[in-house]
Amino acid sequence: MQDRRTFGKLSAAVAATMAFGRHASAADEIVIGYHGPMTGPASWVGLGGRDGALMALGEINAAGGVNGRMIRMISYDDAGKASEAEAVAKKMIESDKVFAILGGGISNVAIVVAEEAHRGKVPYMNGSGASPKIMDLKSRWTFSGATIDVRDIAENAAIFIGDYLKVKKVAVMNGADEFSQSLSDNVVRLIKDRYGIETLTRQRYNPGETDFSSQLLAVKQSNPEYILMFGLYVEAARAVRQSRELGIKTPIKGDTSMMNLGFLTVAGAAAEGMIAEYLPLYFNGDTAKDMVEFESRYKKLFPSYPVDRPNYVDVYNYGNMYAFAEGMKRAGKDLTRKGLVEALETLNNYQAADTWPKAVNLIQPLTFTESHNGNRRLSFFRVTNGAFKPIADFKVPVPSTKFPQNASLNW
Amino acid sequence: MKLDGVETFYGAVKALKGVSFTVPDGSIVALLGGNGAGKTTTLRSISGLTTARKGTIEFNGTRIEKSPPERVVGLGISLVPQGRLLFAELTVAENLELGAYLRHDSAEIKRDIEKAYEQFPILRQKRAQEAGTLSGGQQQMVAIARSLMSRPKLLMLDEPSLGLAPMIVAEIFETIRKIRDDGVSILLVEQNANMALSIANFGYVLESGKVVMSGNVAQLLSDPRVQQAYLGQEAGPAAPQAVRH
Amino acid sequence: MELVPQLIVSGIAAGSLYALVAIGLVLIYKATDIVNFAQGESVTVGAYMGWLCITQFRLPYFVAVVLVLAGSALVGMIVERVAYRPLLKSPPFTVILATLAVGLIIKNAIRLVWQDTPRTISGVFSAEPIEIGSVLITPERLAIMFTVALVVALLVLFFRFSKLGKAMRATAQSQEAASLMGISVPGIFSKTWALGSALGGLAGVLIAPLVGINTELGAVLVPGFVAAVVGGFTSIPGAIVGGILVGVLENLGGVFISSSFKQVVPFVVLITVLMVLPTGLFGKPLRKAV
Repeated sequence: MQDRRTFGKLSAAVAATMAFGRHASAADEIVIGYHGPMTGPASWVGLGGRDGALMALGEINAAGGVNGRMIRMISYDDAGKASEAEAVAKKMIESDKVFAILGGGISNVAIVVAEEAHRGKVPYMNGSGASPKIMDLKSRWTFSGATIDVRDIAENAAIFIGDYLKVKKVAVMNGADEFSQSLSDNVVRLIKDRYGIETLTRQRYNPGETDFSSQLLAVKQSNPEYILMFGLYVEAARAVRQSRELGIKTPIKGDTSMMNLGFLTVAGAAAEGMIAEYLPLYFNGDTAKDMVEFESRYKKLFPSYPVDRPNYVDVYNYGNMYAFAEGMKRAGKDLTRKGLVEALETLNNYQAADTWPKAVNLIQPLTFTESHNGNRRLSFFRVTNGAFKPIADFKVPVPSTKFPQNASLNW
Repeated sequence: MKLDGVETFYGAVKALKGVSFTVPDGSIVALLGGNGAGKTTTLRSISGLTTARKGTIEFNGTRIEKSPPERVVGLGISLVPQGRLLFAELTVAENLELGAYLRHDSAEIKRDIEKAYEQFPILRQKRAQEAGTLSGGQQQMVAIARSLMSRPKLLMLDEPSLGLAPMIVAEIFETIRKIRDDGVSILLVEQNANMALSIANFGYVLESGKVVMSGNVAQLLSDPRVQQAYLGQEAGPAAPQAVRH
Repeated sequence: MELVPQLIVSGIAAGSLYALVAIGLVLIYKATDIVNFAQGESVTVGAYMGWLCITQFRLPYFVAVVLVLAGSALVGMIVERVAYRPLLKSPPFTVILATLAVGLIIKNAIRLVWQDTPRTISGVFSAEPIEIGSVLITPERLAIMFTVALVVALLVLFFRFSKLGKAMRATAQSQEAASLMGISVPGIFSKTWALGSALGGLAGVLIAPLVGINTELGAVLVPGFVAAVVGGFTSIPGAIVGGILVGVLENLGGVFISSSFKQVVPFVVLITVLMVLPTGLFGKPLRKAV
């Protein structure tokens, strides 16, 4: 279950970055459990979530750790399955007795771990789950950090389409997976209700599809001003490429799952001008100082990784690990699990570089003072010369979605 | 060709319990016996379709009891199997070509196909037709012609008369005699013992996986046991059930 | 653009690829009675080989195609020797399960080495559409359709006229009779798997520039399988007609019924065909050696 092979390789690399990691005795360590899908089709989520966290952890330990204590992370593969995740959570809580848990999983797995963590009274940071199931969980032990609720994603997107693109007629293509389906449903409803934007046709596509002529031709036939695409980035990339084959010149707005080098690779020149949203502040290869610094450190730490790493889950959990560490630091010398929760609830508009000199800021500021849902905003990008570049002239206001307030959460 | 103490099993069932006999060069040897006596198994063991577990099979000084069928064919032994096993969806001509699969002398192969058409003129007419569409007698001709395409030194035929009209049977047996006259040894398995002994030089009688009798044709024909068991009824395809003992 | 003609043309373009997958399935099934559920992975393997040739070894696309054909054939032979030959005497069902396992092993082995990151290669033909009559098509798609047609023609010639092709047909009808002709049945199996695998690999390297390369490329097995069954599972022309039918019906169903049903349509066709014609459009009643 535990991905020993890669973990061994990586922990060696991380150890090298820990200036005095070796002196710390086991009693002085703070052990954090990590779970995520490290095998199977979602392995990029689990591996990214693990490695971003490991990188932050290396920096934190190199800077002296948290109140003099080193952090150690043990990682488990949950294979993206709820059943595996339950076993992994129990093992972390009952036999490893981890101090807190960080997740790099998808929502249906995160919810299982969150429930186990609630039962075991262990703080849990949901790293990348975006479903209301996890966001509305009334547990004081569970936080959602850099990730953003799917309803907020929909609000961000709707505001962008209505206020920035200012179109009146769109066609929608969405992946048949649950995430893309519900996101597109929400966006279609919001743009209709708030801006009167009409959705002329809705087309679905399935994982593994290689030909999209029927969907694209139905879209073309409807003659929209914009095409909105949701989810399944490999398939979406194929569809974008094929749209040009079928003479479709309508501009396309994708979604966060398409913010991916693999997407650009497959879609090729057809992706030029396409818009998509993303949670981190920058996309890979951006020339902003923080991103350049992050990527160069990352590549030093994980030299053998493919070109599309770090991915956004790397970036999320880099930020999430810093937030965890900040909470532990604020909780003080007599660190308790309850103390960590209360300390995290003091983070307000927090960015890692505010308090950690080595840290870089890659995610939106986190605020846990009102709800455990730390982030509400997305950034928007446009493919320019084959790369995703931030759209500078638009900033989305905080969406209106209501989340359970801290006072209503249960221990 | 010489078999010595051949034992062959189908799973746990011992089908041949030590079969020994020889086929002298240039002769027709008839293998007689009732259903389940082991005649077909004997031919399958020689051709390599079923591997003998014990005993030896020797052909022109080469031991072949462990050889796979494609090697046995290469050594000059060809089997016309029971039920013919033609390639039904291939044409007659293609069936014949495949008979010469191991040969590389394409000019000679063409000449042999011509020879086959001369021997069986009807096949020339039907050469472009799928073999499966032919009548039983025609199919038997294709099967024999196909086997001859490998230029065997020993031709084995398993029940060539099965299911055929008496006139066709006579024609087939005449052909077999001619093949022998061309210098090919013949091992003939037949339930139609009358017919078989009419062209054979020697005969062996198999019972329950053993050779129980042997001799030249005259000896066998005069043996009362043979007369009673194998010759005591009308020749023809209806015989099989009657000779079971 | 007129919708229906465009849907049909695009459907044929997609279907020609399904046909190539279907032919690979049919060849192996005819010769060995095995439904090769790893045929999708031979598509994946071909695409990755093409990617290696082009981006890692900097070879021209056409050279890559030739190397993919050879490499895929080799992989097919090795897999046959290692995984299926030891099961020669097992019931077909066992071997079919083995093909499922082989597919999973290949997929996960690739994933271990190259993760799920999609790759791509650039083809040689333009992806800019040209207008023919009232429909749009790209030179790239035309080249694929032409290649598939060429391969089919070569296969037909191969099976009709070459000695090996005839031996393969003979073996498909009766392994016992074939061995009595001196044909080495294991040898034919090996070559059949090589051929099936090469066809899969070709499909992979042809489609890679259009759809990218990832470990899930093998999902094209599903429409390929439906195409093969619709076509009777034992007929090359059947596989082609089946593939094109699936491609066109997916498109028509996707637009005129619902895109949610796009991939269901071929199965509906499949079930209908099997109810009306249990042996498929081009299948013959089971008649092997006589």
